[in-house]
Amino acid sequence: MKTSKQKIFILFLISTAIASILPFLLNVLGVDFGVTKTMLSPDALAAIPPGEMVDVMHGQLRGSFVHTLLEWSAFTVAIFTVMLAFLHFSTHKDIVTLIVGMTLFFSGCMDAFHTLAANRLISAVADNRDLIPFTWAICRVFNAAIMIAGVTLVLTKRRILQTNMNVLLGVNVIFALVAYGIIHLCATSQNLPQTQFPNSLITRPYDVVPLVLFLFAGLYLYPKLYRKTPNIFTFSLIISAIPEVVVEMHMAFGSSALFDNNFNIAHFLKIIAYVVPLCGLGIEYLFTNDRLKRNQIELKERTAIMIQAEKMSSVGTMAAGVSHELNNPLMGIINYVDYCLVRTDESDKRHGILKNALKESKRCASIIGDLLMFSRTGKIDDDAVALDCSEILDKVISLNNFRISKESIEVTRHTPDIPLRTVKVKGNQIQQVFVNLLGNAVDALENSSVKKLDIHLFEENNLLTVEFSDSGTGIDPEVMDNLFDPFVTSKEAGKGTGLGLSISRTIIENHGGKITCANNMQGGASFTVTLPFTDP
Amino acid sequence: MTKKVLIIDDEEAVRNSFQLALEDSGFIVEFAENGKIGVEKFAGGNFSLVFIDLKMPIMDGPTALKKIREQDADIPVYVVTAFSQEFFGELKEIMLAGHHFELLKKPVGLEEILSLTKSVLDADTNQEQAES
Repeated sequence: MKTSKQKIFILFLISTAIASILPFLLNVLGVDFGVTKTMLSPDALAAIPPGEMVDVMHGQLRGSFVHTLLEWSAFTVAIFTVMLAFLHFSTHKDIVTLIVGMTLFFSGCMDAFHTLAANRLISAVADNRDLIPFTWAICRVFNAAIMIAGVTLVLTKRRILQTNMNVLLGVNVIFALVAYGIIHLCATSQNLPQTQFPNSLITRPYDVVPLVLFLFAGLYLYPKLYRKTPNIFTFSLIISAIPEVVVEMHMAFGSSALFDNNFNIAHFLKIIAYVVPLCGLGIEYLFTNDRLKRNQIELKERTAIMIQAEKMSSVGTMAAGVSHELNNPLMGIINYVDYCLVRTDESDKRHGILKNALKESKRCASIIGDLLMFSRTGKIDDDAVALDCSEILDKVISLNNFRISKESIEVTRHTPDIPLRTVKVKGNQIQQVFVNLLGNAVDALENSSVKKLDIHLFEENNLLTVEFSDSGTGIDPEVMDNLFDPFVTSKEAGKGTGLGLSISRTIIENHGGKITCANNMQGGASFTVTLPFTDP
Repeated sequence: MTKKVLIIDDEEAVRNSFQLALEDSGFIVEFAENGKIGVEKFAGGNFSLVFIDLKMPIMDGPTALKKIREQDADIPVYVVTAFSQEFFGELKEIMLAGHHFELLKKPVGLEEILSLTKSVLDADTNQEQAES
């Protein structure tokens, strides 16, 4: 399926091609665009009544007026093109558009000179019948040559032009001087060569030169530029070669007199040849602006995410620092209260109060533990390395030995006979997950009549699977679906913060794994962690 | 001979917890407020078990642990920690250097302190008896 950009490219190409051959097709259908008129003799002019003289003179000069309109339209388009090129360069610093825009402008300037000279608005020495066709030919050669020169410079000296404004300025000064030199030569030459041969096959041989140059540019040079800098503007240069070549064919092989059918068609198509790069530049400007806007939006969003992440990191760091500092006095409080509790008679009212104090202190310890776990989740202090998860599990079980033996929980490890492959993990984070899952299982078994915890380690579907299966009361189905969400807990009030499973899920998912839970058919619940192996 | 336990922790609340837990245990309990004092006390103390904190002024836990291990490679040492990331790198280095220790997560309760101390020192006593 074509993208919108590809559709624009195709539409551009088709519409330019149609515009280029349409005049010829209209000719075939009998439409004549010529505005030739036989010049009246001096006697005929003298016989015209004074009131009709202006209309008659206008009629005589109609061809010249049409020529001026067509040429001046092309020059206006060239001005718009260079203005847009400067605008594009000011925002996007793309030297290609600037250089090409400038070359089109200088071409337009030459066309403007040709028009002014043809209308005798600037002094020219040579006869108009030679001046107009000669300056046309020289302008077309200049147009093709300066485009080739500009594009060649961009292809070969782009870096210098991009980085050195003086070089860029120098190039443009040279272009301007060459253009002026040609104009001066044409204006001051008494005799200019004949360029029209009405009875020949090639009626305007001088137009063969720009024809060849435009073919070279369109078939080789512009495509080379497009390959190096693929965008709609460089593509438009390629397709602008179509009307350029058709212009020259109309002139070289068709036009035999000033303002005839082929002459006017060529001048019209020259406008098309200027319009195509203008449209290409305009669309490219809109595309790059749009891209720039989207990049800016994306940058803003990413900056906001980064700031948020840094904030969270700071919060995490602060949480770690505060939590760590709180642990020591909290240990004192828990043990002071516990000490007093065991030495207070149960009938004493203070026994109940001390018991509550101990419970709340342990709850604080649990919150601090979760905060410390939260603060460690995003940290990248340790790198992911290939580790044996059964070793991590052994360490976690030994850390919880006191609670396990105190609660008289029967813990059974089920591992295969052959050693399991390693997984690439951040050891401390996976340890936290196992600590959390084991701790939850021990909590679940606290008031259970049957206190069994089975820990399975095995390989399935090319994943390491660790399953904690307890014989407790299971998980309330109402909280099951949201159990891994933050602040959701299945423990009694005051026992859990609801952060442990949420953090565990984040850690496991960051490792490319999954964590799930389900109630066992025979009672209790199972928490299953899967992790991808280091070597698949 | 009565077994001796050394507690190295800069926090008074933690030292008091160990004091309360082990006061009727029959073991001799001594305390140090920082790693430097702890290492000095260990040198002539003939201890059977050491509990050591990580974050301490003057000399931190990992440094003190290394120095204790230089004097006695076999004594049971429990690093009592809130599992802060701060010292994990250093602890990893100590382990890789072959110096053995166990980890104990704060906050540690009175019962757990007593139970652990008894199990370690009773095991130590049994071993000595078996060797003699």
